[in-house]
Amino acid sequence: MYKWIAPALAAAALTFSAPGWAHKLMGAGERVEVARSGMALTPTTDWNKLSYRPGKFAERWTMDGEMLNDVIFYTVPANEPLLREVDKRNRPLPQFQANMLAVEIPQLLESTKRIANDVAIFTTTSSTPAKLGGVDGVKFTYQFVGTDELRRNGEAFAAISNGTLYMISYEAPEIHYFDKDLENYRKLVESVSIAG
Amino acid sequence: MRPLRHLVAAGLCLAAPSVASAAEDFTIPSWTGAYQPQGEDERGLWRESDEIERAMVDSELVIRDPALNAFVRGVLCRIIGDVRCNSVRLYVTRSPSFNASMYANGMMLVNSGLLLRMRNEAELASVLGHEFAHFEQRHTLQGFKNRRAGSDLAAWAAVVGALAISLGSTNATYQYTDLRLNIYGGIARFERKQETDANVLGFAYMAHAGYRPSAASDVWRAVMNEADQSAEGRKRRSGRYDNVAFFASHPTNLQRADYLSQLANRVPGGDFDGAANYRAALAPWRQTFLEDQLKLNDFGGTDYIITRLAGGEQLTPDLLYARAELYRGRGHPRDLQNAIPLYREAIEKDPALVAAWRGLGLSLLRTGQMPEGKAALSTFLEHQPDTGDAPMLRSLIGA
Amino acid sequence: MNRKYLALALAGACVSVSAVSAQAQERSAVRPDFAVVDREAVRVIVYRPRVTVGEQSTGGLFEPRADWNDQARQFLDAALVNSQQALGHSVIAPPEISGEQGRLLNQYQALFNSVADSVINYQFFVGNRLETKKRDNRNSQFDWSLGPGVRNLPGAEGADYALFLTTTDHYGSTGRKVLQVFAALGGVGVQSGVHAGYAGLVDLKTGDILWINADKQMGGDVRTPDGAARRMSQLLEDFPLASPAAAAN
Repeated sequence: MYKWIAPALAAAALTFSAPGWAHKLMGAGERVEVARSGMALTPTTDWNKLSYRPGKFAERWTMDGEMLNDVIFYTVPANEPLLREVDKRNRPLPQFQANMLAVEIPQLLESTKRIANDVAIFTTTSSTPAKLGGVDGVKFTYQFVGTDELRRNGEAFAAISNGTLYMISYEAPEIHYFDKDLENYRKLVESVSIAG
Repeated sequence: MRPLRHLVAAGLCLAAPSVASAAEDFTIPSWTGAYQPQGEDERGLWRESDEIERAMVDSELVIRDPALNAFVRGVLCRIIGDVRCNSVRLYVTRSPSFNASMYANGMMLVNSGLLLRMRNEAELASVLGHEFAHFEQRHTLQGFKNRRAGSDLAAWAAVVGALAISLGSTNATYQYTDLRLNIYGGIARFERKQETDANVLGFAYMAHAGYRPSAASDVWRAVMNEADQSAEGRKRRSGRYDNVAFFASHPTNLQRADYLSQLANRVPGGDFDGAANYRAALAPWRQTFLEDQLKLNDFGGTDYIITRLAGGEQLTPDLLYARAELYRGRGHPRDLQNAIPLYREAIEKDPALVAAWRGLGLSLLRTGQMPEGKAALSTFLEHQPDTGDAPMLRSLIGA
Repeated sequence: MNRKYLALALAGACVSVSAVSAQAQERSAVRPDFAVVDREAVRVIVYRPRVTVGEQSTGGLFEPRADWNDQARQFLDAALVNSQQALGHSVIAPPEISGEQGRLLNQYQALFNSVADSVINYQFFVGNRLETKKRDNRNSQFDWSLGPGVRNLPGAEGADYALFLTTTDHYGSTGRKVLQVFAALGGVGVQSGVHAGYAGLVDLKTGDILWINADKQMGGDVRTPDGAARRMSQLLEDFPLASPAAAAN
């Protein structure tokens, strides 16, 4: 009966005091495996990997904070959602399916963001064939407005290999930030290799 | 103008014994003019509403299409009259949930998700009239006061409950649940009284304008059915509607829908629905609003909306297309098989609906029908060579 | 047994309360290459501050209070006027803003808030600092920007800098404060009151944030003249355009 008091207090203390977790430097030139699954890459500039994951099969990198430049790596197996469920009972996220076509991935991301981030306006602006880590896939661009009313742009590369969805997305405010870090993000994409 | 005492008299004649006395029922009170806030709470709410409205004016989420705004406002003005209507500033917002809200300063927000679900002017009028009635009866402020007291108690109960559990009391869970139910019940009872008042006045507006009053109960039943279907699609039990945004502040149940239809039966009102006007006004937006709904991963609820919009008739081409997209979106193997004939039927009925060729082609490809799928995508690209994902589609057909 | 754990819980609660005051967190920063040649010639446009004041009831519901809001706006305005006199630079009121211009300013205010939040979370909050910002900080770097598009802001053509100001205050009711103590015993985190204040000076040619002062727990009761003056002086603390005389005060 009492044994959960200590963890509860620890949790309460965490909410009050400075979090002890550290974000990790992803230094330029170091080959790293991301999102625990076969996808490796070499950043050409320094990035930060945030210590909390946005989903079981996702990892988040940023330059200035996820509100200003937000790179997410996804390695999602079949029948799993892209991000952590916000309200699985009442607003479940759509799941990746192994028989999806690459051309349908933009809509999967759109649906996920509409539900998980309360995005009311989302437009896919382009969708073209592209390779990710040597695998044929899709590159797409989009625009959206979230609850903070700030207009943001996005660009993503996705490919499906052996029933797993590999995707890298980049999102940033339309004003200034999107253009500022676009090339850095694209260099990450260019260096990606997918094992298996 | 129709003499209101006739409505009252008619109401008395038709009154069912199970419904409260109708002597005062369908009277529209005299309008007291633009409302000025009084007292600390009212001024506070007023101020906050002004701040919200300032944000709305510059908001990215407001739909500024003059024709759509004029139509929605026209329906509101028709039921409450121009004098009352002048006190309202109305904003249509891009939000897929079923909701409309009225603030203490006369600002009314109407979600695009509400407009999608209505089938005619009468249904829209019933919701707008209901919201305006809350405003006229100053319920926004009273509701706020009551919710505040309720949530204070609920917070205490949560902590006391947590404490009791952590300190080893065996029946704390039960007591806490009990207390919480009592508090929520208190809010609900209070709001039910307001709801009844607002319904009665809302019916008076509708009757006065000649709309079919029973459209109101059609709307409530539909929203509850949608919630049920939504739950069923997610393989869980329903019967609770507190996840529907509108019902968060308008608690309801099946008895209320029954009560509403009894009430509606007693209002002589009119029989005007305005279905054709409504379809025409929504035509430029319906596809957009349907697509917003399709992306919410709510198979059961969306399927219900599509069925209801058809109104017992055969599905129109845009609804056939929407249902096909719904099936393709869920994407179980059988869903893809089901989607294919729906796309074909949509195209047959409306060859201008070229987006259906895209969905048809992708569904055929996913079910292994490669030549047919490629042909369908080629047809789509002939019509829409510059569409956003044209390069992606060309790569699929090897062009 | 019960007492022992209650004592532990109380000790825990005390520790977490003291942690609030003890935690080292920076609140303001200046861009290192920022230097003003002629303070008197500098023109600063001040956009309408966003002021929100109310009470946080025991349940956490925000309760707007018009009297507080009115007072706060009046007192903060007065405090701002006093500050600008003391600071000695030329303040320009923005023009009437509507339509597209209003939406543009809305976008920039939203961006400023996102940047200020990021500065707090990832630079000022030392324990949570981004590794790249740590490196930068070793070289005293403070490099955040809204981008050169700020030139298109309404009124920007007649000014050198823009000052963005935001205050949000939710005062905890007595019930909320008592609840907070009891909640800590039950291992539940309850926050009492929100007192966020952001101030930022933006270069209207580059969009660079020349100076920022951002804190989610500011002092000064904005419902009183003295408190509002204190809040404004806290918001404008270390304001880089302060005249030497004002700074000496």
